[in-house]
Amino acid sequence: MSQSNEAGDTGPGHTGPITAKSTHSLASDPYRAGIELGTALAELQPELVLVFAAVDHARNPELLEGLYDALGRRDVIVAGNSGDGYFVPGQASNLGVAALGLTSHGAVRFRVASATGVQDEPEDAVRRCLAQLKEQQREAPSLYFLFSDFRTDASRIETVVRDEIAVPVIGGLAADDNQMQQCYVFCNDQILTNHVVMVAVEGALNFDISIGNSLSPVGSAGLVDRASGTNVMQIDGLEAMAFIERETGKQVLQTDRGVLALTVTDSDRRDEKILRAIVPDFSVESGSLGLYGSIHAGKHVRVCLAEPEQLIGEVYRIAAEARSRHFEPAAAFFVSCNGRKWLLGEQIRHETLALSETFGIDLPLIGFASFGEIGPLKAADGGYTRNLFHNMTYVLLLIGQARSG
Amino acid sequence: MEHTSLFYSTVDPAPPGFQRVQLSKRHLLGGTVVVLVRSLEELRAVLPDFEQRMRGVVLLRQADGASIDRPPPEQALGPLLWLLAAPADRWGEMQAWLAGLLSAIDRACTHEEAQRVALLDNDRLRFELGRVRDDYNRVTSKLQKQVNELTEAKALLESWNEQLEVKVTERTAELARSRKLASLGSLMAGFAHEMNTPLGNALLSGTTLGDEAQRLETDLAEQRLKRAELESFLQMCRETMDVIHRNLRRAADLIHHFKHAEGDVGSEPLQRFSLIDVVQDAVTSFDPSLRAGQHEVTLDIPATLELESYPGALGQVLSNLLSNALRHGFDDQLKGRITISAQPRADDQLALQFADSGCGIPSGQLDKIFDPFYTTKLGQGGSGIGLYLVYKLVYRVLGGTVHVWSEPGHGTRFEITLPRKVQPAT
Repeated sequence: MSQSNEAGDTGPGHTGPITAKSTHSLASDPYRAGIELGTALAELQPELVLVFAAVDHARNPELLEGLYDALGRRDVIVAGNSGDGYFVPGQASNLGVAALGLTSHGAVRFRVASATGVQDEPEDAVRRCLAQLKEQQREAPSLYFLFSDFRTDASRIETVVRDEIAVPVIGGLAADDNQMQQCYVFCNDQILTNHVVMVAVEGALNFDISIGNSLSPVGSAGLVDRASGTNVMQIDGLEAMAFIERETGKQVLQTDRGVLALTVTDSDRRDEKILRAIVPDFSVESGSLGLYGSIHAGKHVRVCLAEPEQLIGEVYRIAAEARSRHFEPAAAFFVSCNGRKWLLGEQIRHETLALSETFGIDLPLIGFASFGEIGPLKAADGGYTRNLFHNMTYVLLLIGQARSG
Repeated sequence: MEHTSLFYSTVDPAPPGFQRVQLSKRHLLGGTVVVLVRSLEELRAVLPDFEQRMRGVVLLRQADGASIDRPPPEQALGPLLWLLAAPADRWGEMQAWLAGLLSAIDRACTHEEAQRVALLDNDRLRFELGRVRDDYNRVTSKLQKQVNELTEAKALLESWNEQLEVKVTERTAELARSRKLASLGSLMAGFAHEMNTPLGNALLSGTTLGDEAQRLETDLAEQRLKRAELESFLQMCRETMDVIHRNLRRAADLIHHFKHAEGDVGSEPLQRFSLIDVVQDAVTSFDPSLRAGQHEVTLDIPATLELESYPGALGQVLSNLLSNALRHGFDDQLKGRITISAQPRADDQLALQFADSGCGIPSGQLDKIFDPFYTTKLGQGGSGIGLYLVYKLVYRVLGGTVHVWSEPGHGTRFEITLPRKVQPAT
């Protein structure tokens, strides 16, 4: 099942300031929450609304029904997913739902599409999604958003967005409240599972992408001897879990979510750092490690340990660096690994505080805690690397004013 | 989110302050509301579970002239939904009348949502705590397993250690036996070599003398013996006997030294003596050699230092060290320096140092110099007995220890530690 539509189609050459507004609701009734979001955003007359909800809200179709009812328009593109909570200015919440409305006044056009089958054939699902967007395309996109069910091999999504899409793709995997049982993606008024949803932004949108992934490698590198899908069975002749224990001195624990990751030391490209977080829930008694993305046999890996101070420091650094580039954002969107949230606890608020303190509390922003992030790294030449799938990262998109011409 | 209060009516005309609407879900759930309806079925048609989801007041028509009434609490529609009935002639005053009630419901909503958030946060914390508890149990279990493994490993190690100790003892004994046999073989080889020369000389001289005597006996039988030949033979006898005597004496001396080195102190009595006297006697006996080489000997020994020991054995130790220094240390070198010093130690021991400024001993030879018959001057007067004798006399007779330090080009130093009072049993 697929669907697509577009918004902001007022024709090329029509430019205006990007305006945005973010809001959220803790209302327990999903419809009421949707109404509250829509009511708050209606005046903006948004072309695109990004919605991120705690899983309890996300599963109920009345959420989007309420949103549309309150917006009073059916041509608004809605996209997003469930997350392990969401971020709005100044706070991180485990409950409720948040939305960011964007209006470009015709400067750019938004198109949305979804495709099913991401669990079994992720490459195919992403390609079908792209094909739908291309069918309607009038202008080359400058940016894509991508939201996917987390029950997939995200490395296979990566192969498409990395090798077949030349412009940045920002997004991540939907999540739940750490139970790793269910998740939902939103495409307009539909709440979907086993789907990937993509939004194409056609036209010259001014944006700035930064990714924080500063985890410290420890110990020595090991050779991945056996791996299958998102599971690594054997490293350096040891069961993968035993390898982690060898390098860190401790066994892999359930609470290691957000603490442990593997980095590929012989990546094909030096500027493309690859981190794969270990999913204790997917790691099994046999000693194999479950990851949020695959690492192939033959690669060398090192264990990375996250340090809270380092994670907090990097979000402030990223905001300060964006500021130093004189980038004036109209809105911010970020995807943060839920492992960071697990590790930082209450301190995860710094990921939104860093932006509010740097750009002002009035900056509309939204974010969600994901089970995997997608985005390009900054390249040495000032541009961006290919689109990559990450873990344990903080992927920030600052949306600025549209470029003239 | 701030709650908004709205007044809706499905009754036409709507009372003052009420908005006439075609009811929708948005009207019922859009905030804290007062809804005037003809019957509850109007609400159920729009929102089947309106009792649980709506917040506010449902207003029903009561017969005109009746008083405004509220059903008893048990008939409340839902947790935050009140049911009121009022006659139509009182609807006009309802908005003002209900404002306070709606405000209270709003506050109740806020509290209810805060409580819900707290409960859900609590659920999350409970979940996370569950993970931590599981981890704690896993770590404890693993630690317990590791402790058990370590205990077993320790027991195994102790067992292995015991077996190893037995093996080491056995191997040490075997090694000692092997060394003893090797040492004995080496000793016998060296002893045979040393004895071979004088005994060979004596044998050869005896054989020559025997041959000459037989020739003389033949000449005598054939009456060809001349006086001059007899006199020559007698002269030869004297000379040959002298050679035989000297060689047998040398062999006897070797045996004597060897016996002495093996701890046979003979009849020397244990006696009290001044160390400086024994040292000076030993040095004096080497005066000719020392003078010939212009060597200088410095003594640094307290005159009052006395020992109750065997002065003869100690003298032999010093003589052998002096002989070794002159023969090996100085070799052809002139103006060497020898320093002999001694200090009493607190533990009733005596530290005696013998140092020379000679050529030193290569490191590869240091661990062999006390071996019997080890010499670098074989055939040049070296017997390999001197330092062996020093070692045996110090350990076996004098009850002390001896160590040597040397570096080629920087001389040699012997450090001898001796008890100041030797126990007779030693």
